[in-house]
Amino acid sequence: MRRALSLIVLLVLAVGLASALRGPSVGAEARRASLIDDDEVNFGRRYNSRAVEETGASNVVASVLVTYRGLDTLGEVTVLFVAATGLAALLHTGRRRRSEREATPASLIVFTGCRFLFPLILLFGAYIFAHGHLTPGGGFQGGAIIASGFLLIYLGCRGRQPESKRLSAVESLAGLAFVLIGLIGLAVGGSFLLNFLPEGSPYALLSAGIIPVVYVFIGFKVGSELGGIVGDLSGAR
Amino acid sequence: MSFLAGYVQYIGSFGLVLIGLYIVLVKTNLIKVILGINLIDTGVNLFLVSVGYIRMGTAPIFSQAEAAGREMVDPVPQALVLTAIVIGVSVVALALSVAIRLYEHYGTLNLCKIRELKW
Amino acid sequence: MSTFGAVVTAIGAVFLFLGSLGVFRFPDVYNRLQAGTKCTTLGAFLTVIGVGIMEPEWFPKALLIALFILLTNPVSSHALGRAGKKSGVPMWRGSVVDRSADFKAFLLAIMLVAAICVTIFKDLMNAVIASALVSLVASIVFYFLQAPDVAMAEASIGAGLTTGIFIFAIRRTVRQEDEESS
Repeated sequence: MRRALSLIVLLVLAVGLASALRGPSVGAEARRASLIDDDEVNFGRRYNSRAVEETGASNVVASVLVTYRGLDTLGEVTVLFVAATGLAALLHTGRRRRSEREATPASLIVFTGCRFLFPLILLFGAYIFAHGHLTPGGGFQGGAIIASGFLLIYLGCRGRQPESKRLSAVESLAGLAFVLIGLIGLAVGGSFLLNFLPEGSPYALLSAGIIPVVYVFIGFKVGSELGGIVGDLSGAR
Repeated sequence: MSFLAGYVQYIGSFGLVLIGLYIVLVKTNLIKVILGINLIDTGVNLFLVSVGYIRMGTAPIFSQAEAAGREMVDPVPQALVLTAIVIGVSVVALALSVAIRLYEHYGTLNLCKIRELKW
Repeated sequence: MSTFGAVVTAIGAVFLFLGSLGVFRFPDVYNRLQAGTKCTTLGAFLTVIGVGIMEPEWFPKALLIALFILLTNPVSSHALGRAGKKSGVPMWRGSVVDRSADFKAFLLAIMLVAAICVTIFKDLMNAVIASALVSLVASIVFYFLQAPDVAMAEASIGAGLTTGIFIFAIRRTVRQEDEESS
């Protein structure tokens, strides 16, 4: 009964969606013919044409994330923080029942291999978020790679776990630093998250104002946060 | 197949959303339902990036090698989807922690048996 | 024999008609060259061969003429097309060469098959691996949609971290989906 009802609903949805697709009627492809519309602002084209001279970053998506739509990134960092806190609160209360199947410690080969790989993974993640304004990448991708390094540690080195307090401290400090940069921008220029550092020359590492600085803090925050989430779920903390 | 060249990715994204919706509506295991939510997230992200795509466009990154040759695709949906992917994984993590606590409380993850969630 | 030759000549005439219709109706130079070459070469070839079959003592000469047409018509059309491209004759605005569409369709088919596998696998570990495959193929599709940042994020977060947290959650709860699913 439920299955039949669901299939009918899905069929109606599919027919409706298919009838909306008569050729490219939505998005950038459909609007491509009308080049410059004076009454309609096309943000994508505006950011593409002015990103390099306004912010100095070669990666337009990075300048959109940090400068043009910086408040959305701040909101997203907040959502991530709330989710991590809620998860920790859910999984740490209740019976302190250590799992009966106490995991056998990992073999020496796996342990040594994971311990060897972990700093290399951290270095790779740091490279990605440090160059976020020049090449594809950025704070979120670098943070995710750092978190997968933590996943490796929780899977492979069962005897030694990272200190949970240090991870939480890094996460909170990085988030605080992001807000502080925004407040400094407010104090210096008059708007929150203003790009107040010098722009520099394009394609250089130290360029694009506050974008690499913000990306470094986002990388630390996302990495330690997702690493903490993984650790909480694995039951090791 | 090239008559579909404009919108083959829309079909894929809508297909993912519909399959994920079927899992959420029909399946009774809670972890399966959370997998379905993950599929819906992926489908919607694919749709958003496809909206910004221009045929024969190039990635919105200036590099030293090329000058401004072809037209660049829209960067705003890509920034939006980056945010959405990270939020998606945090929602899935929170949902899984709720599932773990439910399992510890009720002993089962079958939605028909958990009394408060009667469909 | 002569009816067979007449039939061949008639077919050749039909192709010649279709070729001239194409030259009349196609929207730009390059499309018209297609009609002008393929159809008229085949039409002329068949007409001449048909005449050669109808009058058997003319057949060697007819064969030579047909081979000459077969050699020269495509070469001259190629030269014409190349000259047009070099002197900047524009293509019809509807002609787009997007060779990646076939590959994208193939990838999306894999993605949808993997998504269907997520629904039907009863062992939850297998379903999670299928979901990781969906995320991986989605990240490749993101790359083809000219979004490398999103591809990196989806690959590392969707295929890596999400699989990890699902496996941890499955380890702490149930492994198999219940058989009674109404």
